[in-house]
Amino acid sequence: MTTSPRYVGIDLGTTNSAAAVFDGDTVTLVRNAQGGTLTPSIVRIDGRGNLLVGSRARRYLESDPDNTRLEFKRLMGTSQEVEFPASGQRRTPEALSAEILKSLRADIQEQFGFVPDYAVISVPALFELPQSAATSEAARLAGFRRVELLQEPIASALAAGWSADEAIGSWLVYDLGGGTFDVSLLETRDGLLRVVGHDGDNFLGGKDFDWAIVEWALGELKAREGIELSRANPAHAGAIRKLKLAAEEAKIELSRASSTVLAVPALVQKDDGPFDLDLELTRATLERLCQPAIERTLTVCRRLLETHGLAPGQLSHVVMVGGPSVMPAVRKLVGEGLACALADRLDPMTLVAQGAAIYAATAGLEARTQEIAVSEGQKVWLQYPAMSSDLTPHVVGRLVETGRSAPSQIRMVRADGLWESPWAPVDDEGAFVITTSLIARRPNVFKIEGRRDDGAHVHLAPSTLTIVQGLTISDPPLSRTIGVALANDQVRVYFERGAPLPTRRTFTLMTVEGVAKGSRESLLKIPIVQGEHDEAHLCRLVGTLEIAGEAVKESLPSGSEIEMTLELDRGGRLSARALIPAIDQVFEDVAQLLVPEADPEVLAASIDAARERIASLRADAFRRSARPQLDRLSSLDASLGDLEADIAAARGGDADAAQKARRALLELDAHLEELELDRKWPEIDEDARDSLIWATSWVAEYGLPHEQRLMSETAKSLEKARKDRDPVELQRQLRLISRLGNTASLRHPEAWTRRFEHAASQVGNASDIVKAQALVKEGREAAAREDQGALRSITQKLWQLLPSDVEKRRLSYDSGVR
Amino acid sequence: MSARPWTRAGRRRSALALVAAALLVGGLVGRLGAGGAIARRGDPALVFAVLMVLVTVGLTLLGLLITLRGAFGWPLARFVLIPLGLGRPAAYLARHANQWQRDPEGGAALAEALALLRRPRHDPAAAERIAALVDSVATIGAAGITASALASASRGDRDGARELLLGALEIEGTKALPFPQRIARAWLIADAAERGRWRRVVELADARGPALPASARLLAGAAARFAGTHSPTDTGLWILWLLSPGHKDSRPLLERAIATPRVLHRRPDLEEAPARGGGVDELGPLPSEPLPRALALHAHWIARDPLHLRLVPSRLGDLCRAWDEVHRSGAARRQAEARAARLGILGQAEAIVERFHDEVAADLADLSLRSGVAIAGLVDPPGELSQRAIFRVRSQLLEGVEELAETMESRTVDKRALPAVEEWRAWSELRRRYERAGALGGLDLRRLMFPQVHRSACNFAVWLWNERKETGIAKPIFRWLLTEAEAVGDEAAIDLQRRNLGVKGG
Amino acid sequence: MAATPPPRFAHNPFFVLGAEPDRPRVELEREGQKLLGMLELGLRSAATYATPTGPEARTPEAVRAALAELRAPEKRLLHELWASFARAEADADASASAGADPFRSPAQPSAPKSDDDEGPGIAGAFALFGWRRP
Ligand SMILES: Nc1ncnc2c1ncn2[C@@H]1O[C@H](COP(=O)(O)OP(=O)(O)OP(=O)(O)O)[C@@H](O)[C@H]1O
Ligand SMILES: [Mg+2]
Repeated sequence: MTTSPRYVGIDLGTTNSAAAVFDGDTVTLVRNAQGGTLTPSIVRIDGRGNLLVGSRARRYLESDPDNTRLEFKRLMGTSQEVEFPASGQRRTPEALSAEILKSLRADIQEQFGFVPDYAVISVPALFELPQSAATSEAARLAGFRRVELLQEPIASALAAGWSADEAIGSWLVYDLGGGTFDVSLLETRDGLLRVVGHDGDNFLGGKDFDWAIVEWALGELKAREGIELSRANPAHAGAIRKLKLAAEEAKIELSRASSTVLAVPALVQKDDGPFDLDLELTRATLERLCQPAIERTLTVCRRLLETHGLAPGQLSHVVMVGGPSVMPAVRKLVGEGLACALADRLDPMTLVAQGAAIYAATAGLEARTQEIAVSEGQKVWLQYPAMSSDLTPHVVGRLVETGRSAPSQIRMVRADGLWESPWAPVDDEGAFVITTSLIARRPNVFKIEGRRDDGAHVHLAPSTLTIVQGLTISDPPLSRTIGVALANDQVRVYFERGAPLPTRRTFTLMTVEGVAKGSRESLLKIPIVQGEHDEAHLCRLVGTLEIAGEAVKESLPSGSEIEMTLELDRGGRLSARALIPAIDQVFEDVAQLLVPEADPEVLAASIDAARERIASLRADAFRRSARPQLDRLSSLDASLGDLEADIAAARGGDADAAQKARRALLELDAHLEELELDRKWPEIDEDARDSLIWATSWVAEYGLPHEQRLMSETAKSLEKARKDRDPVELQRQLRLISRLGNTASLRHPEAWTRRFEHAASQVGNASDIVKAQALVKEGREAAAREDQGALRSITQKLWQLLPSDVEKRRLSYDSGVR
Repeated sequence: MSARPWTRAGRRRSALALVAAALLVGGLVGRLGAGGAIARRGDPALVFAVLMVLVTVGLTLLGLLITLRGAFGWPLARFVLIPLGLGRPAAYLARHANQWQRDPEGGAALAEALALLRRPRHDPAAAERIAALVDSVATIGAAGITASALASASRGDRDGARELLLGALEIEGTKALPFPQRIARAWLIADAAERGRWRRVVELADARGPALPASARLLAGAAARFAGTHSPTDTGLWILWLLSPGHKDSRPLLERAIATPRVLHRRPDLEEAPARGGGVDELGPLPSEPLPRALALHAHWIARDPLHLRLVPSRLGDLCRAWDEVHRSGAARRQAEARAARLGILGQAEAIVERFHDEVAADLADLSLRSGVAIAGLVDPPGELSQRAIFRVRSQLLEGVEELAETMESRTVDKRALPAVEEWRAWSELRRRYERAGALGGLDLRRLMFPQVHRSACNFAVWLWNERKETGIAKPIFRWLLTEAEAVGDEAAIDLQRRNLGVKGG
Repeated sequence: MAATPPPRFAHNPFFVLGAEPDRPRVELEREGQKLLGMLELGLRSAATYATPTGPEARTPEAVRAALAELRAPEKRLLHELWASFARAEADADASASAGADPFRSPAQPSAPKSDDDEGPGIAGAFALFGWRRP
């Protein structure tokens, strides 16, 4: 009898981590030494260098916060190291995550008696490549030989779908974690699960509820006791931290009880000794405090449904995941807001881990890699889905040796004896295909039999195989589009969102400028970006391949071809390779596969800029009384508050907050650009109309016949561009129009006098004022003489001294390719 | 390897190579002549004496050569050292030759490049020396550009080489020497001949310029036969063959040319000859339903080299019309709606069909761009999908030109200089794209593109001229701008370029 | 310059899977799984697939990508449109010679490789000048 398979799934959470093992039939949660299924993602290193993980580390959170670290998942993919001052040690976020994974691995060994080599680890849906790569690295550090990454919502969905009865239709997974909110729209059809769409808010979670309670408590304190504490005051940081921990405890307590006390002994030192906080907090109050945040999650859900043409009532159910989703307030508001039932009987805290384990089965990632003894017989290679939603999947096989002793026909018999396949012929490649029949939602064991032409039975090895029937998802899809930023700020898309992993693709790019051999200044950058925007600068830079003058074998002329290949595996590891055929040289080192550092000062400056942009956009929208724009702007404005809090925290050294702010700012930027184009359009349009009128009148008066014809054609194209709202095309036509107008206007007898006067009025801006003034003087004399020729040459000289209007922004991460 | 070969060390090495060569020649003569006979007789004193004499003679010759390198260096380099593939000594001599007084570095680079082409394999070190030489001059000339081009060719970058050599023919000013232009033309002729572009060969040979080498004239004569233009008589071909070197290699060419009947009048354009290429008959019977029909045609043409389409442009017209019919008849829409209902996405059918039509238009545009056949002239009046394709072609062409013009402009503004050859390349590419776009989009498109190209290129050329003294390449740019301004009728530009050429051309 | 459009036919999921455009999704998935297995075992019969523009090599990545494309109904419909050839006629021909490319038109010549439009060139043109051919 063969032992049943073991598949391992791990949820490496920001606050809590969990692991599960699936054997093809049932999912078993892994218990830690304390008997719990949740291991807090907390690591402590004490003064003697001893390392504690999980709830044992958690105990020191209050007494020794400096050496007890949490939420390092948010730093994954940055170069930020976490310090443990007592022992003077520093650890990378991946090393800390590796400690959590090691602890889970040890728990698995304890409970199941084997050490897993392969596993599936879940990551947030919005993880960027560097963060995914860091997660894979953590797994490697923890001793795993191979891991695949799976997005958390897909894991929850798979687990939910696995245990549901034949559900069909669309449903939601609502995952509210400690600091992030994710929502996914799923569809089950024919036993196959499909992720239809995804949305979320990276800055929304249980933490926000805690802070809401803290703010409330501070207000009460001030009103009742006259004690003033502030989050912004560094001297109060200790008291605030204690208060926040108490708030979280109270919040969790209120998921069961209807009222509790918020108690912090010796919160502050008053004149008459230590002050003990003791406040009653009821469920109703909590509900009131949390309502705004919950409303925000519902807005996101509705947005997601709307983009996919669904109304809330059309959902079959909602699956709730994450700690805060246990809260009665959340459950009530979500149920009402989306007008549908919440799935019960699912454990919101461990669903992700369970799903990861089930996925491991789909991907055929058996956790134990040691060979199981092969039985005697004719060897055969078999290919079949370890897990299948199809009730009649194919099994494909090939005999390792063909010859006289080899079977000529093969069949399969299900272990329950109720089904057997017809005898399938073995073809000249030694191959055969058999269509099986599965019992739903069960592991199905089959015996494989062979027989020769003479009717003799042949024993095959292996002689059995198992296929689990159930809901599957076959490939983890890519969560965000990946491409190469081009010099014109466009993106050459390599892998679109939703593309199955692993994947690989090659495109031919061209260098914009040459690379001179041996030159230190000459450096060609090929930026790799991730994101859904068409403009490269709005996407995130996730890596850069550099071709340096010092490294090329021969100088590269501009316009040289580069065959650029990107490859992405299921562990989120991206590799890039640039082949330059002209010099037959390959470049492979991707520089900086890291989330870029975020400097608080830079962030603060960009926030100020964003605020100004919002203010000016809002003033404008107000004038035009444009409702939708105003709504969008006020929600953007609201997000600035959080951003500022994060930047304040970043100034205090909280790198996580800095990262959060950086990402939020990029997103904000994208919104603002969109709104700005929206706003600018009437202006551009107006300009276009003015230029058209101006030029038409000149051309009508002084234009040559062919110019007049061209003018009327151009006017038509301009109208089309205005109608299509195509700014690029509009600019093009405008250039031509103003050229035509200029040419015609120059035929006016006083043309150069006017131009000269205009140039002279701007002398203050000239690059060489003295020279410019001399020219103006000269020009006045020429004008007095009515010498148009001299006036013209003087005006042109003057123009050269005035600032040029050509302004180029190198937005696109300095890309050197197109 | 030193990046600058013309350091003192490099020069010394070249001189040493010459001494060695002289000694070798002396030794060889000795062995073959008297030396050999004497050595056989075995009189050591005599052998020594004879050797001494030979060495003295060799050294004297060398001294003479170095003294007279101005006058005789170049012929020696050109007829002896370059054919032997000895780049460095050839470059040394070219540098000091009277013939290259106006452009010694260019001459040296060209000598190296020509020698490089004679070697069995590409030599990166030599290419490096050529690049360094070309970079070291203040003002680039025809020789420098030709040398860079030949180095590119040697590396295998044939398209790049062609581009640069075409430019070398346009170079003006004191450095527009006949020899490099002659080489450039010869290479272009060989290139065109190898690709069977016979008419292009004839064109190149007919263009004004310095006399061509005999082999090039033979190629041109044969090409005229193949292309069916005014071609030489058989006797004429024989004479051309006798005049050119390498009779054995060129014999097959001669025979093929003579076997081709001489045409006394121009053959009509291939475009008008429907039978050639014979694409139509291969297609077999087409389905009658609009969508399968259009798809069958589409698959047929997309699988083929788009140049095929150029032979029979009316085929592209057929394809466009077939798709216009799909759009007009709503065939795709009906099918999509029926299937969308089955797939449960009825509401999206409309958008999907729209996307499908856009993809079709994108393919048509791509076919048009790659084959260089304009759709506008083929379908009249264009249907919806043809129109979309035309629009796409137009905006892609425009984007291509604008992108380069903008890069050029921003480089000019930031004063980010590249080596002169690269500047020339940048200009050539802009110009090529512009001309290609003009060929497809007609005068309207040229008018639309010209203002921007004019501004960018003119500023660029002014920068090259005023600050970088690259008059040799700036002037052809002004000249081109003037010609184009006249063609599109841009008066202000005409005026400006006239003055640029008048004032600056002196 | 903008990218050239993707090869519509060569990578069409229906051709990659060798399946009719109107097959239900379960069958397409089953077919894909089978092909993946066959490719993994290195079977010759799965190594290529027929398209209207000629045979293509089948890879596991291509099969996976094809399956992923067909899972989204809106993408699937678009591919269906591109794959809606009059297969019925072609099938009739194809069944005559088993395993033949159903899209092959009666006389399909190979596409011309060189871009010569005026007859063949001569091979030794550069040699006439003593130059190495680039
Ligand atoms: N019973 C409960 N009632 C209310 N809130 C709870 C409860 N249990 C945990 N929480 C809150 O849930 C949050 C942690 O949730 P969870 O463990 O799902 O996050 P995570 O998975 O670690 O985070 P992420 O998914 O963002 O990586 C904390 O804010 C915690 O206070
Ligand atoms: Mg979670």
